[in-house]
Amino acid sequence: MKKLQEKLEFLLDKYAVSTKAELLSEKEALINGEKVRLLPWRAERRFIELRNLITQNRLTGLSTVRITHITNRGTDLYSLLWREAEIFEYISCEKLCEIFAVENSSVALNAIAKSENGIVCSFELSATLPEGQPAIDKHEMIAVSGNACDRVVDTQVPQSSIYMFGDDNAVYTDVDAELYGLNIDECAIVRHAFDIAQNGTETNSAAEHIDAVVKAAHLAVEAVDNVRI
Amino acid sequence: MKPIKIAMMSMTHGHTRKYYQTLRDNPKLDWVAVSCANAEVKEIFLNSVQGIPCYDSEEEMLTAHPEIEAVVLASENSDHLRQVKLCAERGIHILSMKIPTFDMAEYEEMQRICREAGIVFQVELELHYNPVVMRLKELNNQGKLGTLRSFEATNITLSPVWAFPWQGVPEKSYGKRVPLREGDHRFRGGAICDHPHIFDLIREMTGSEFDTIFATVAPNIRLDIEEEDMVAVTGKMKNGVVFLLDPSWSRTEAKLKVPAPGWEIFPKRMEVNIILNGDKGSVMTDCFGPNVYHNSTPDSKYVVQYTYFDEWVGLIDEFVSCIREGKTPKINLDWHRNTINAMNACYESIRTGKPIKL
Repeated sequence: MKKLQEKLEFLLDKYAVSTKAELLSEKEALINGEKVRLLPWRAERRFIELRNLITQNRLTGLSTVRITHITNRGTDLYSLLWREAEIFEYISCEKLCEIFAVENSSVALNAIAKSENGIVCSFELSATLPEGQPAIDKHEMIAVSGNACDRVVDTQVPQSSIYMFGDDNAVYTDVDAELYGLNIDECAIVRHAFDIAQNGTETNSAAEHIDAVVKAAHLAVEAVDNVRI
Repeated sequence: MKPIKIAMMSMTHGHTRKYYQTLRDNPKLDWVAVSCANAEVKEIFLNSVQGIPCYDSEEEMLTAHPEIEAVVLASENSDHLRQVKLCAERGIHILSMKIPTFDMAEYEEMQRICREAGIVFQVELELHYNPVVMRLKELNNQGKLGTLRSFEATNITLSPVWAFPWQGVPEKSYGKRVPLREGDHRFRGGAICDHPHIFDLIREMTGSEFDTIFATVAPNIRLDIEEEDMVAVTGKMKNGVVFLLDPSWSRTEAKLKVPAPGWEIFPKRMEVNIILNGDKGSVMTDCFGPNVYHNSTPDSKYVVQYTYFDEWVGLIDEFVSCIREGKTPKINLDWHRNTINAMNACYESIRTGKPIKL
C-alpha cells in the first residue's frame, strides 16, 4: 500500500489537488478524513470504454451482460460477486433488483441477476487457480445494436501487450505511463482514489446497494429461490 | 457389410445440408431418395445435390422405394411424431433431429412405437463426435481437475429463423403456442428449442441428472421475432455440481434465405464453449476452435471462418453400426428424455419466475 500511496501523492501533487487522500486498503480510502469505499475497476480503461458505449448511445437496446471470472483458490466468491455485480451496474448504468445463485464448496458460484429494466446479468465465478496465477475474466454486453466485450472474438483468455520468449518467458501489460511500474489492478486503485480526491466522486451509495445484492445472493443460495433485492 | 439404403425426409431442418457429403461418401450407405416438404426446399436441394430421386411427399417416396431401411428426419419438430409413425409401420430405422418433441405424452408414444417396431432411433447430437469434446471428456474422466464443482457452457448462435422459417413458428418449433409468461408477448419455441447440446453434455460429463433449474429470459435483441432469443439458465445437478448455461441466439445475422457467406453480422456465427471447474483447477474449451479469419467477400466484414469438424461422419458411423449390429445408439430416446425434461423445466421456470425442482 505504501507504493500506491506514493503514486497517489505524486498525482495529487502534480495536478495541484489539495484534498488529502490516504489509501487504507484496496477497498477503502480516507478522503479529507472521511472513509470512502473504493470501486477501483471504475478506473480500468476497459470498463470505462464499455460504459461509454452505453452512455454515448452506441450500444443500444441492452439485453444481457455475461460475466466470467476464474480466480485464485481460497478467494471469497461472494467478494468476487461483489466486484462483478458493481462492474455490471457501472458499465450498464443499471441497478440489479433480483438474483438467483447456486454455490458449490467455495469453488464455484453461479448467479443470474436482473435489473429494474429487465436486463439480465449472468455470473460464472470460480476460485480454482494456484496462487500467483493471473485471473481469467470476461465481460460481454449483448444488445439490439450489437455486442461489446473486453476479450477478442474467438478467444478464451485475456491478451497481453508484450510476450517475451526465450529462456525466461514473460508477458507484460502496462497501461499507465504516469504510474509506470504498477500493474493494472494497482493503477486502478490509485487512479480511482485520485478521481475521488480530485472530483469528489461519490461511491458509498453504490457500494451499499451492492452489499444488498450480495446479501440477496446469500439468501438465494440458502433458500434455493429467486430473491428480490 | 451390405450398404444401408437410406433416405431423407422434409429437408426443412437447418442441418439438412450437413448430411449431403456423408450420405454420398460413406461406403456403408446407399442414398436412395429424399422427400421435400415444400417447393422452396426442393429447389434448394436440387441446386445442391444431383442424382438423388426427389419426391414431393413422404408416402410417394416410401412407396416408390420399399427398399429404404433408414431415414434421416430432417424436419421441423412438429412433424416428428407423424414421421416416426410412418417409418415405424415399415420397420424403417430413424435418425432424428435433436428435438424429437417437447410434448412428453408424444415423447412416450414415440418410445412405445419404436420399442414395439424394434427399430433404431438415434437422436442427432453431433457434439459427441467432436474431437475437442472427446478430449474434454477424457480430461474430465481422468480426474485431472479433482472433484468437479461447476460446469459452464455456451451454445450460442445466430438465429436460424430467416433461413429455416419453421424455427420462428412456435407451433412448429415447440409444438404449440404457449406464452413465455403472463403478460409477455413472446412464445416458447426460440433459442432454448434450438440448443439441447449443453443440456445433454452436462449430464454425461457430471454423471448426474438435473436437480434444480432456474431460467430467465432477457429482452430480445431481435424485435421482429415472436420467440425468446436471449436466455440464461443456472442451477444444480443431483451430485452438487452447479451450472450456468447460455443457449441464446446472441450472435446476429443477415436475413438470408439460404445460409451462405455473409450470413453472420457478429463476426462469429456460432460458439460452444465449456468451462469445467474442479478442486484442482479449471478447463476452458472452445469446441470449434481454433479458426481462421478474413474480411473478404461478400461484405468485407471481418469474420471467423470456421475450420469445421465433420461430426456427421462419426454420427452416421454409429447409426450404421447400430442398425447392422443391433446396438442401441448412445443418444437414444430413453437417454434423451431427461435432456428434454430439463429444457421444458427452463420454460416452466421462465413462466413462474421460480427455480424448478426435477
